[in-house]
Amino acid sequence: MIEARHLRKQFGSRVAVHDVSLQIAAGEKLVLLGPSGCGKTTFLRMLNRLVEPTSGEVWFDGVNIAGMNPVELRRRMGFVIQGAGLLPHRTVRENILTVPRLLGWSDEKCDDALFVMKALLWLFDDWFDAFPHELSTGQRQRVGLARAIIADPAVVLMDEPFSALDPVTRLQVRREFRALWTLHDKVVIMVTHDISEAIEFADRIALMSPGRIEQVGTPAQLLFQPQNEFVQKFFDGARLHYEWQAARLRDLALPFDPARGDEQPSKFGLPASHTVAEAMTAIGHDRARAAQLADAFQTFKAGTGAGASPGGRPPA
Amino acid sequence: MNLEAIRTFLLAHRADLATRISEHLNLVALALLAAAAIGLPLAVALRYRRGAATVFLGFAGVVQTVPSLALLSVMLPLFGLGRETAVVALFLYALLPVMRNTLVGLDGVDAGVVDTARGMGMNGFQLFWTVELPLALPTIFAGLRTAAVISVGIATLSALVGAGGLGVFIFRGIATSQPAIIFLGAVPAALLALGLDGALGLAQHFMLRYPRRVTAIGGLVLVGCVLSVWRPGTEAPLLFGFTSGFVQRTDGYEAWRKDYGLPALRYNELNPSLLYDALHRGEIDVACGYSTDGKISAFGFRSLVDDRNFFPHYDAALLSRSQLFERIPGLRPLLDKLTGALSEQTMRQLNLRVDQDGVTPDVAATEFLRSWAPGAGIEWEADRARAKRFDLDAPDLVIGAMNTTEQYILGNILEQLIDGATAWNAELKSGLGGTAICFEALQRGNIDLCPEYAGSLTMTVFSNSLDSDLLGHLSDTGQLNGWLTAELAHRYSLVWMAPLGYNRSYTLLVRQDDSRFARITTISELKPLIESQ
Repeated sequence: MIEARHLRKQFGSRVAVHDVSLQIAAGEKLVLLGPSGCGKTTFLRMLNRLVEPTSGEVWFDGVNIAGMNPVELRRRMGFVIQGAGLLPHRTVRENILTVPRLLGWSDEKCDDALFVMKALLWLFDDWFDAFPHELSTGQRQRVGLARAIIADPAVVLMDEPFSALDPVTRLQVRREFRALWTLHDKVVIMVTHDISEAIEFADRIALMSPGRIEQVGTPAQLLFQPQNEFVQKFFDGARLHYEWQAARLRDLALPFDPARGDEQPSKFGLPASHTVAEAMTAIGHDRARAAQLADAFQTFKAGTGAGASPGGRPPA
Repeated sequence: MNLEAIRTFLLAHRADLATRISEHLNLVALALLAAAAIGLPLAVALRYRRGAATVFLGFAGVVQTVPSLALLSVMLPLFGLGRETAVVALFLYALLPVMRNTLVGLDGVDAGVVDTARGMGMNGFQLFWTVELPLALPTIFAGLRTAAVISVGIATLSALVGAGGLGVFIFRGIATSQPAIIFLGAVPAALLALGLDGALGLAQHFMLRYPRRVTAIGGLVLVGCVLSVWRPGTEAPLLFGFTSGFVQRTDGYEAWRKDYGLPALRYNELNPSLLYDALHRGEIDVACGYSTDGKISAFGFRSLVDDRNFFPHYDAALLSRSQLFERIPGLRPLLDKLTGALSEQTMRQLNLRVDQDGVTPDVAATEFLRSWAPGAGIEWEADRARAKRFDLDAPDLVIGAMNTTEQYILGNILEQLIDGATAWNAELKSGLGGTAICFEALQRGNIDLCPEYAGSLTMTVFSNSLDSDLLGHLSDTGQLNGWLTAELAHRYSLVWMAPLGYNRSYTLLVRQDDSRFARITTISELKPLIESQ
C-alpha cells in the first residue's frame, strides 16, 4: 500500500532521517515509536509531502508520490496532530467538513457523512455549532479524528494524536478510535513516544533511534525477539508491564481450556484476544489463577526465545 | 460657557464645521484606503522575503519618526498645495501600522492549525484565504485602527498645506488666540478618531461572521467618504491664499471683503511660510502676505494698492515687563535707541538676506548691528556678543520671538545688542507660536521682552473689549500706540515701547508676470475681474 524506499531527510547538516525503508500493507496499523527527536515525525510528514525528502522515494498504491500533486495526495490521506489543530474561527461542523468541502461534496453528502461520524465518535449535536475553544480537549480530539476520517481516506496519518489528553480521556479516546470499524480496512500510521500506547495500538511497531529504524515487527516480536541492544534496552523501563501488554491469551499454552476463538471467552471468562495485562487486571485477587497465568506467560516467553542475545534470532 | 452659548456657537459655525468634517474624513478615508490597498498586499507579498520586508518596514518606520509638519513640507514641492500632499503624507504614516500588523498577524497564526490545514490538502490560496487571513484579521484590524486614529490626528496639520479639514479651526484659533475656535476643530477631531476606531472595531467583530456584508458596507462608506469632497473641478475663479490668522480675525478676511464689496472668495488657508512659495509656483493666484516679508521682493511679487485704506497699521515695537526695567535700569535707554531704527526698507532687506541669500538670522542680525550701532552711538562689540551666546550661566533676561523670519532676526538683534553692548547676558527663546503665546509667556515671566505688532496685540489681547471706537484707532498709528501703552501698563504692567519704525501690514500680492492682473494696480480693481469669472 505504502512503501518508503531509502528515505533520507537532511535539514542543513543535521540528518533527521537516515536511509529508511519500510513497507506498509493495506489495513495495517503501524506505529512509529521512538524517543523525541528521532525523526519519526519527519518520516511521517514525508509520506504526505509536508516535508520533501532529500533522497529516496515513497510509493503510494503503486505510484511514486513525487509525481503526484501534493494537495491531491493529502486529500486522500487523513491527518491528525497533537491538540487536533482545529480551525479556531470555524464551527465544529465546518471543521469536520473541511476536506469534504475541499473535495466539493454536496450538502446532502456532507450531512450523511456527518451523521456517520456522529455515531462513530460519540459527537453530540450541540457541539456542531460551537467553536473549538468551547469544547474540552477530549472533545476537540474526537472532532479532529472525525475530520481526519470523514472523507474516507485510505490512509490516516496521526502525529501524537492523543498526547494532549489527560490519561483517562486518552485511554478512552484511543480505544474507541482503535475499535472503529471504519478503520479496519485503512492504513493508520501513528507517531508516538508512549510505549504502552504503541503496544496497544499497533499491528506492527517501527522502533526508531535517531535517524534510523532499529526494528519493525509486532509488539511481541520487539519485546521477545529484539534484534539489537537498542531495542532490548528501549523497553527496560517497565519491561514486564509491556510484555504483559504485548502477549495475548490466545498465544499462551494455557493448562486449562485453551481459547478457541478470538471473541470466545476462555476459562478465565475472558476473550482470547485479551492481553495478559488485561487478564491480570480482570483476575484481580484470584491468586491461584494469577499464578497459573503467570506460569503460562513464562512458558510462552521462553518459547519465543526472549532473552537470547540481541540480534540473535530473526522475528518469527 | 453654558450649554446655550455652546449651541449658539455651534449653530453659527454649522456649515463650516460640516465642510471641515467632510474634508477631514475625506483625507483620512483616502489615506486609509491607499494604505490598506497597498500595504496589505505588500505585506503579504513580503511575508517570505524577510530582507525586503525589513527594508520596507524600516522605511515606513523612518517616515513615522519624521515630524508631521516636516513631512508635509517635504511633500509640498512634489505634490503641490492641497489634498494630494496631505493624503500622501497620511498614507505614508498609515503604512507602518498596516504593514507591520499584517506581517505580525500572519506570523502569529498557530503553526499547528496551518500544519493540519496543509496536511488536509488545502492549497496555498485556500490556506491563505480561509485560514491564515481570518486568523490574522484581529491583528490586521488593530493595525488599521491604529492607522485611522493616527491619521485623524495628523490630518489636522493638513490645514497648513491648504488641504482643509478640522485643523483649519485649530490654526485659526491659535493665530487669533480664540480657544473656542481651537476646540471647534479639536473636539470633533477627537470624536472622529474615537468614532472611526469604534466603527472599525465593529467591522472587525462582524467580519468573520458576515464577511461579504461587512466588506460591502465598509466599501460603500469609504467610497462615500472619498466622493463626499470629490467635486469635479469647476474652472474656478481666482484662488486666494490667506493665513489662518487673516481668515479668522475680526479685521481680517470677512471685514476686508465686505469693505471692498467683494463676493465670497475661493481660498486656501496656508501657513505664512508656505504662502509665498505657493504663489510663486502658481498654486494660488493672489496671496495676502505681510508687507515686510523678504520673499515678496525675492520672488518679485507685485503689491496691490490698498486704495480704501482698509488694512490697519501693524507697527512693530518692543513689549516688555515693567519689572525688567526696574531690575536692569540701564536697559531702557539702550532699547530706546532702536526707536525708528528699522524702516520698512531695512526690514525687508534683512528678511531678504535670510529668505533669499540663505544667511542665518543671527548673521543678518550681526550685519545690521555692525552697520547701525556706531551711528547710534552705541559701543557694540560683535565678539563680546558671540562670546556670550553659549554662556551657560543663568541669563539676566529672556527675549521671546515668534516663528517668522522677521521675528527670528529681531530676536537675534535684541540678544546680540544686549550681549554685545552691556554686561548683562540675554537669552533668546525663538520660534514661539504667536502673539497669544508671547503675551502669555510675558505675563508668567517666562520671557521678559519681545518684538510685537500693535495690530496683533490689540486683536489678541483686547479682542473681547473691541468696540467700534477702538477699531477706529487701528487706522491711526499715533492714537493706537498711545492707547496701547496706557492700557497695557494699566492692566498688565507691561511696557509698550515706541515703534521700531516699520509697519508690517497685510498686503495683497500677485505674480509680476500674471497677465490676468496686467492692468490691475489696486484692490478695488479686483472686483470686476472676480465678478467677470
